[in-house]
Amino acid sequence: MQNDFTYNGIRARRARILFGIMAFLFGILGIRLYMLQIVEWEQYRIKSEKNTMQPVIIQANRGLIRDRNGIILVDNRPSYNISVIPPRFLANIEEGKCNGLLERLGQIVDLPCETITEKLQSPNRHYYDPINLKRDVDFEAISIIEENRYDFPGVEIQIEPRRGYPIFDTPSEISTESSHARHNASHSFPLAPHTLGYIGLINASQYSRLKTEGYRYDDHIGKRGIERLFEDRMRGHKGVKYIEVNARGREVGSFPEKTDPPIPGEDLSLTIDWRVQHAAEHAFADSMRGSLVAMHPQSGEIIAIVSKPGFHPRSIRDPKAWQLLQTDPSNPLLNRSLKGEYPPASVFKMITSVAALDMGILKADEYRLRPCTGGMVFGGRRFRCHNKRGCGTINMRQALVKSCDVFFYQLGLKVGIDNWHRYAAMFGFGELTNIDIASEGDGEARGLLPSRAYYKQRHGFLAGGNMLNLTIGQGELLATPLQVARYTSTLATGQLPTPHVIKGAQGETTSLPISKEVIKTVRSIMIDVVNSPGGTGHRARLPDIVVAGKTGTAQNPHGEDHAWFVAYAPAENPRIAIAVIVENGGSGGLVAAPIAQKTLEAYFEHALPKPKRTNELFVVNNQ
Amino acid sequence: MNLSLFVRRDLDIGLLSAICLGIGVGITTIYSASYNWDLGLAGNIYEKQIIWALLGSIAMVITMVIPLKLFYAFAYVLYGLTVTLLILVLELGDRRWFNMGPIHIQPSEFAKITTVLVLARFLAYPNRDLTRARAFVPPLLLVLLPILLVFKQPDLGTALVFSILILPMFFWAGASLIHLFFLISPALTLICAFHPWMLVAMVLLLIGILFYERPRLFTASILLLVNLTVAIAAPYVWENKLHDYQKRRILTFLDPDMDKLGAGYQVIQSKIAIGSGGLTGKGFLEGTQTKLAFLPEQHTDFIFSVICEEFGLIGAFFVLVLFIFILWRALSIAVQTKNRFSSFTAIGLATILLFHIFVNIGMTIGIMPVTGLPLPFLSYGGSTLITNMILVGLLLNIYANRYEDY
Ligand SMILES: [Zn+2]
Repeated sequence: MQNDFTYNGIRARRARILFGIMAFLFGILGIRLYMLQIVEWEQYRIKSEKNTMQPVIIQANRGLIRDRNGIILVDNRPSYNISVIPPRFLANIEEGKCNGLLERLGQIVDLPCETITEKLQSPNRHYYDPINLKRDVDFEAISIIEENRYDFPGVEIQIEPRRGYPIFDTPSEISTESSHARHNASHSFPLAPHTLGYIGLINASQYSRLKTEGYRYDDHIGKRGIERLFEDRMRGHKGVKYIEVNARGREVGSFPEKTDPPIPGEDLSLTIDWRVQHAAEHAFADSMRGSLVAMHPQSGEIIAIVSKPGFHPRSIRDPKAWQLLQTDPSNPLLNRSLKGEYPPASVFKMITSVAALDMGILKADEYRLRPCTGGMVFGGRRFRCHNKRGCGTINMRQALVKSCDVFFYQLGLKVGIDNWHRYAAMFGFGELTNIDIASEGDGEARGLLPSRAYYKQRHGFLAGGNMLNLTIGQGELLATPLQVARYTSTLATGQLPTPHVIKGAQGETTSLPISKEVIKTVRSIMIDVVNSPGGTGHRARLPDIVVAGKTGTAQNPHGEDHAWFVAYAPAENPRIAIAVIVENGGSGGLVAAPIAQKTLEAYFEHALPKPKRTNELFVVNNQ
Repeated sequence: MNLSLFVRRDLDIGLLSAICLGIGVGITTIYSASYNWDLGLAGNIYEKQIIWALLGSIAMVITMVIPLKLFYAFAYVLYGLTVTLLILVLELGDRRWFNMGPIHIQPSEFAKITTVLVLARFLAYPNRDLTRARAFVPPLLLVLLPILLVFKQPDLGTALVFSILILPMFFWAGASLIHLFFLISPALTLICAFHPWMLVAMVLLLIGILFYERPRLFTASILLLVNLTVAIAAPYVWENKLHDYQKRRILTFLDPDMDKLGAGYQVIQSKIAIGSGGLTGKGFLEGTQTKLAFLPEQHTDFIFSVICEEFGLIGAFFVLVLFIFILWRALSIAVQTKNRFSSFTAIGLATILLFHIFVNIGMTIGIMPVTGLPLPFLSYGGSTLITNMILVGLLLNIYANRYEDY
């Protein structure tokens, strides 16, 4: 059979079969056309000559976004648009001239005549569909048009739902929007703009791709964050009512019984607690750049997620404000929690400690390493401790509490890069967290966890000095605030959760192959960091809840150091794990720890059930 | 070379004239579709279509003069290139287009042609034994890749174009109809899975044919397994895994009447336009439905409705005959050419055309779902027109070199 090409007869026979199939398909089309145009012609002719029904869209309400307690974060409220039905309007103006009706309308909507006539040329629409000239117009313009309806043929006022932010929407903010698009006075702006995202006008290529799914050329669509990722669930399904139009398209009646009501979109509930989110956002001073991520360590539920500076989601409706946001050097549109990559600095020292403890290299209270004299020489280079006067002979506990670098240089060399990398990878560094609000382009950064192979490939060799920098969380190491928060959760529970923001979207949790004793020991040290006298994290203490934490101060070749702080509480029964970074903030203990403290305070003020209050202020664990 | 000789013997003048005629009808209809009664003039989109047609002619001539040997040699490279573009457009572009100023480049259009080339090259290998199931696997994988990528955009209509390609090409390669039935059996099972009696009938039919045909045990078990999985998984996924909006989307795709506002409304209006055209139509620029019934896509997806309304059944049949002629030319080119690769290519290209024509016209008369597939040569749109003219350039090229083997 495979030789059919040599025998042309077989090929011709197959061609005849294919031609037969083709003729059959065209036959179906032909018969159907004959039925429509000849047999049923009379019926269709009457339909086309009679007054016809024209559909009018009824917008569906977009789903609301609520916080974990059901408080509404994002809702819908009406806004007014001035629109024009082109054929009716154009019939009343002189072509190519800017006078009369066109001029008056131009003054009301504040647009030049050419822009208006240009807008009326859009081909992607039903012939008698109104075209939006201006959205969000004020009451003054509305009343001028309402009062003089008969002077404005073809001009209509339409009500369109707009996203509202009930908790912090103050009327004054709308007028100052363009000048203060950036979150400086954060109290008058909605919470978590990076996570919630915003909606905007559909663009040409989205429209062409989505028109078969019921989108119109002037619809809104989720552009970023949750609004974008859950567009399909939240948008709902438009309804339609029918009006009767005569052969020239004029409305002459309606068909109320044919109305198909719209189906509202699904509401979304988040794991975020707006009270904690609110406290966290306010704990950052207005001038600060940075991020905070707080999560429930066992489930991975995000309780608060902050990226500073923020922005007002509605700025997208104002091109000038939007332009300012996009060119702002502090990059307010960047979601630092998921996409900001920073060296984790001293908060990373627990990795080296866990590795050393778990492998039995060193016990927490052993004095086996050489004393810190403010620095050490390695490979012909001097590596400094941030404590220039030296920390003396110390054990691991003291080294973490004082955040001594020299101790960790030595410990890092004992652990070695391969083991260090193995343990760091267990805590999820260098890997995506797979948080549910990062997919399809709104993604998260991976960070960078260098391995021996990485150095070989990148530099051709691994220098000993590289390991020294890595063990104190510097060098080429990078992590996102979300990764660091997840790492803190894992330090609290020994399990690596998958973070999520949508209620019920819980992902998998992996138990780390590390002994419970190691987790316990590290916990007792982290308690000391916050609670022992002179501990670097003392600014995160709470009056009667034991907080475990660690500070970090990341050296930054481009400017002031970045301030880190991680913590979880209550230490013995962790309910919240938190990571804070303030870009160029300086010392972690000084700048970042108070932010974590305010957030923890807000959490425990509202948390149910109330955690047991401990009377001991701190647990001293020096055997 | 004697140019006059070249033109007379090697140019398929019939095919070329038919294409020009089709494009002319298209531009005329686009003019009518964008004509505004209140203003008394048409928009400028018909002028744009003329420019696209001129650019398309250049692309067609270039395709005609490139030696076929090169298409053969670079089939895999071209395929790899377009697949890369499909991946890039998902990641970097707008999921469907690359936006380069006013020009949108849609890689799935080119992928159709390169997929035909790569399949033709694979099947053209002289001793493919298509009685063995194994021979079907590599070409299936070759089409599956673009199908998945296009499906992700999501562009269901174009994904179907790729899927349908494989059947006539396998048939041309000598596969038996029974094997082709096996190939599409999972799709049939998917449709039957929601109807207990139809499912039983389908399973009996499959088992009956298996007993009659007696393929190798391994092949038979794989076939049964795949079909059973589909039969069991489809209703489960439908009930438990899909959101309401996703179900609604699939149902409106299959039955446009469900969506009273979008697809359903368009189809109803299109049928009124076509039906009211009658035998001779209402006359050029006189179509009341297309002018007032507000078909938003009348110059692209529903261009055929405009023709039917203004020129009636005569106009409709004229277009159908034009298409039958073009497809007949493509088929006879496939028969005449000595070279196996060229022959397969011609079959694949003809399939692309036939599928677009049938699905688009079927949509306007309400027997096919609303997919957004344009009508070749007639619908407005730059990238579609240029791709179709490249496709014709390839056919003309094959015709000119039909005695040449390489
Ligand atoms: Zn030191």
